[in-house]
Amino acid sequence: MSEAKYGVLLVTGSHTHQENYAEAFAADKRCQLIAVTDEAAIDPKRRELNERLARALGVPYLPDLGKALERKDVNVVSICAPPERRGRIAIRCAAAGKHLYLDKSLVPKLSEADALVEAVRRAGVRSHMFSFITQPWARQAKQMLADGKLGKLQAIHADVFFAKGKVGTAKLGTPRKEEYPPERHQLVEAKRELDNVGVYPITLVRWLTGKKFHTVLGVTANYFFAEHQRYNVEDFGLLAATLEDGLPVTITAGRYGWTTHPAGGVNRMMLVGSERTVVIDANRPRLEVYTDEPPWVPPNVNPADPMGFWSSTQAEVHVRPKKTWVPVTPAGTSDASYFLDCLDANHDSEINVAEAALATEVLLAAYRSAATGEVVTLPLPR
Amino acid sequence: MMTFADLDRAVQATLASKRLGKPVFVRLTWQGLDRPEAVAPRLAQTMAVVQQWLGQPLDQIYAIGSAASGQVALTLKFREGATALVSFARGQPRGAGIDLMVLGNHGAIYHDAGSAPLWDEPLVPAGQPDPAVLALVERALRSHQPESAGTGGKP
Repeated sequence: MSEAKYGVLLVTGSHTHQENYAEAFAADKRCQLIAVTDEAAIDPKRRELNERLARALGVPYLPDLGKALERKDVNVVSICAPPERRGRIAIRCAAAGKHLYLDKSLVPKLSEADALVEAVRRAGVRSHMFSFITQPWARQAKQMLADGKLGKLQAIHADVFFAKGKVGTAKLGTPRKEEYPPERHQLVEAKRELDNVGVYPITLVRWLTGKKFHTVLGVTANYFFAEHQRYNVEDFGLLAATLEDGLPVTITAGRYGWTTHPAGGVNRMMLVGSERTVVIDANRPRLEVYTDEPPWVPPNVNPADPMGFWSSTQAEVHVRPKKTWVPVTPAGTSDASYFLDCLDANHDSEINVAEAALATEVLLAAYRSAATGEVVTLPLPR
Repeated sequence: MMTFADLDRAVQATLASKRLGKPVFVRLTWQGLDRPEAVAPRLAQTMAVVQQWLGQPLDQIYAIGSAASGQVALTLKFREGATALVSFARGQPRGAGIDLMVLGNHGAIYHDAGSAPLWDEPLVPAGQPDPAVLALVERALRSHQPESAGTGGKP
């Protein structure tokens, strides 16, 4: 091993967020990527994708997670397994004494979330779920609240949408009928976007306020994509919630198409205070640049990833960056480096599994509400 | 000076052009220094405008917050599946005090302080609210439970 302090094992490979997380870990000098691995009994397609990322990174593929976890040079496991397998894998990794870096959202079931929190506690390892908390605008919002610049916080309104996918194909005209518990979180063609995107603002609200959600009314919908409709997963979600101190919170989240936004999508949060209201917008401050360059056009649809979930599949269809809006402020610390900072300092991440599990519970409450039409009170019954 | 009617007309014209396809969601947050007794009427007026944009009968309304606290958010569900969040936030408005996002199945409209007049001039809807819509808003504010809009989408 090199001088790197942390050996990082990657669970699952291409066509997952591991493509990005591995890159972020590799860019941090404290890390050495050890291998890509997965559960032994996976389908051939997943194995081929795992091996593909291993080849791209120049690391071995270890086909048996159990054996990979026996390696003493592995300190951190970055887990991007599909949601349905994520919980049991994370529990195995924690039991092996490895620190956990987890894709979002945490796990689909409350029982899995509880079990994972307990496994991490028992093993005494550190954990972190990917989030927006390292983004400069999020840190600025946190600081403003801590400094009391808004007075007493009175309401939060947040919107996060991913501007990807070819819209206009969903059949409209009837409200979506939600199911509870939600199934099928991540398919090739579609994801549950309330879960996939909504986890960000839910996590931010909890992180910013330190308060738990108390009530949730959730609505899910199919507004944009036939793919989501075909697999009975939503492309849009909405929460009208209250926190434990009664603070009203509204959240919308989803995926709404390549051409619906000049950049990557709306990502903003209105913090209403007794003294001052601020809108924290990931797309501001910005330069707006207009030139005689050819206008941005969406990429051709990649059948392997029609919604543009993954970096590699977007590169295959030559997605061009949108360049009209140019960020003014520098990018923040990577989420991976933030977790390494936590390990260096031997303290917990602000989004450890216990915090991430709270977001899971809010998401499940929203799905239950969407299915029943009723306001759901937290905590959910165990 | 821009009026609420100007904004309404501009949104209606854009929707009528079909550039957005079919409108499916509206988020409208209104910031102002209105007194508590003015909040429900203002929300009722705004709700009526939003309903017109979406062009669907209202099915259900749900309220969080309270007029007294100065923070109210209405969740509106429409019969053919469209939804809306109409909120009032008491505070000194920035720009016109309107924060708007309209999503269609082919595109979006955005209007916020950055695209408002470059001075603070809150918009005020003209006229009086429909008494039936106002009664529904007040009922939702009292119950804090989803309230049916009744048959025909009119309370």
